[in-house]
Amino acid sequence: MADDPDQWKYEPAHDLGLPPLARMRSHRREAGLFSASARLAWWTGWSAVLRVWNRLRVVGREHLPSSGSYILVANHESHLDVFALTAALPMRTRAHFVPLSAEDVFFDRPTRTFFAAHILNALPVRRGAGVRHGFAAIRERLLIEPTIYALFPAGERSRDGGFLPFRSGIGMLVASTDIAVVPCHIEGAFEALRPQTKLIRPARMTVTIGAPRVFKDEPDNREGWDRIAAVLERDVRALGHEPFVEEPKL
Amino acid sequence: MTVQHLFTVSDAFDDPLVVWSTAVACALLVVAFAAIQVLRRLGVTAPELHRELMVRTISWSWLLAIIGAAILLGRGTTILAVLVLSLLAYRDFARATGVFRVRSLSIVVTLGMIALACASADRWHRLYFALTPLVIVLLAVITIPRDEPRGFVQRVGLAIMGFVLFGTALGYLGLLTDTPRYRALLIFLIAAIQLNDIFAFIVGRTLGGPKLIPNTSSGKTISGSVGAVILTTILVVVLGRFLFADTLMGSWTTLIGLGVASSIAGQLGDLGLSSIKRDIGIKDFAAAIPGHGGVLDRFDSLILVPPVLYHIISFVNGPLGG
Repeated sequence: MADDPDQWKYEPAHDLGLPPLARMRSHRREAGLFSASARLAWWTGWSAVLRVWNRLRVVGREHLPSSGSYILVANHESHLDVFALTAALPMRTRAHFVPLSAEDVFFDRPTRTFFAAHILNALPVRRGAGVRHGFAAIRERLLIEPTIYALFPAGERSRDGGFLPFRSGIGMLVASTDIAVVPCHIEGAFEALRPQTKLIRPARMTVTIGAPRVFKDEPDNREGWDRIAAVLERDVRALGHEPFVEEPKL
Repeated sequence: MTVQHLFTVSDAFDDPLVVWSTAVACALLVVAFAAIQVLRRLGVTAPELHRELMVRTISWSWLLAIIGAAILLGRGTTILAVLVLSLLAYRDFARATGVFRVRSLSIVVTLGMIALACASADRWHRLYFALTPLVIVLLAVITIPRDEPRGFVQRVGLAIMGFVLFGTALGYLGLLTDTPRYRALLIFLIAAIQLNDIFAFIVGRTLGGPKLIPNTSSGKTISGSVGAVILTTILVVVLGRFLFADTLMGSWTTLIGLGVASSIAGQLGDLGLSSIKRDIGIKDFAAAIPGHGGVLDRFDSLILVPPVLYHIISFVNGPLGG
């Protein structure tokens, strides 16, 4: 009876047994009905705002993998960037969207952690020296369940609207793996919402999605990481300069 | 106004039993904290144990404050608190069994529990009873369009079990607010069930002896179980003589029956939830309440008692809710 293949199989929540705060920070976190609904309302509401107020346009949506896990990388010039990225995703995959957010900003206080975990569905990532810490866990999640990470490889928001160079952290995450990385360029977010301003201006916004890349052959060392960061930065920059030209390479 | 009966606070302390039980609950907390501090000063409890005791007692204070406030503030808040308890209990159950991943079932269960609460609030007992089969039918059909026959019986079975145990059975607490002295009744119900657990623990520890059902719950003994039935029945008879004075429920034989049935239902709730945990292979349902585990770990023995109490009262005193 014990080996009967037709027996019921229980798969408890992957984060079962963690105290509330540890659960919110856990990469194994699984959402219930409350956070799933709150999140859907949050992202869809913002998506509607950007589409109407900022006439958000999405170019190259056909490049998005139709299923499975992948990582979106983009330039980061405004708080609106993350909303623009979710708006670019098809509705049915929005539940899998997980922004990788700075631990020191979004996960420092219980209230903010609650918001980041339950509304944004964010996961904490360390910045600077400890950046590799927790990458194994973050990669593991991609395999456990369909997950779409959003990551801004520059590691910080540009304060003047200029393009900040990508850091090698993204390389450490994906070097020598099968993980697909989708470069995206966000245009107009800085004009719509600058630092220190509260109101969103009706500036036109465009998200351009490029062809996915896989870095299976890149070595998992400093050279490989730097090369990956450079390749992705070039991709994103190219998307920004020529938003209408599709790049059929790869 | 028809909703006035939901939010009447002014009569909270009209019932002397409510005054007394509130005073006793507050006194118990003060005594508990004082005892913990004294034991610490005397060096009886090690720092580790002291911290554990403090965490548990602080959690208890919060639970008592929430339960007490909900019951004292009136029927509306009591029913709302029962609804929240139902939802949290189902959440623990669904996360442990994995059925929470099927969103459509969670939505139906949630709406069903809200409907039960509305039926309680409206004193519409017939709707309450009709909702259980209706929701079960809806749960049975809602996942058909997914076109995933694999695991169909499991997910539907789990959702129905969750709804009936934590929605219907626990929801009777809300329906019981449609009795004249519901505040005292609910306070006594909760107190008797918690004491039932404590009686079983103390008698079992003192007398020892053979285990009750060791595969399900390793700690429970036959002596503890029988001891709890006897002591809880005595408690129910003594309290019931005050609570049900001047009604048919107040007779000795009825109260003895009520005591025995409540004690057994309390223990079965505890053991039933233990069976679920053993089957899945987990120790606790969650870790939401510091020192106690999940909501379901704390309130497991409360789940099966409300329907027993309701139907005995309804049978003896005449149907509730017209």
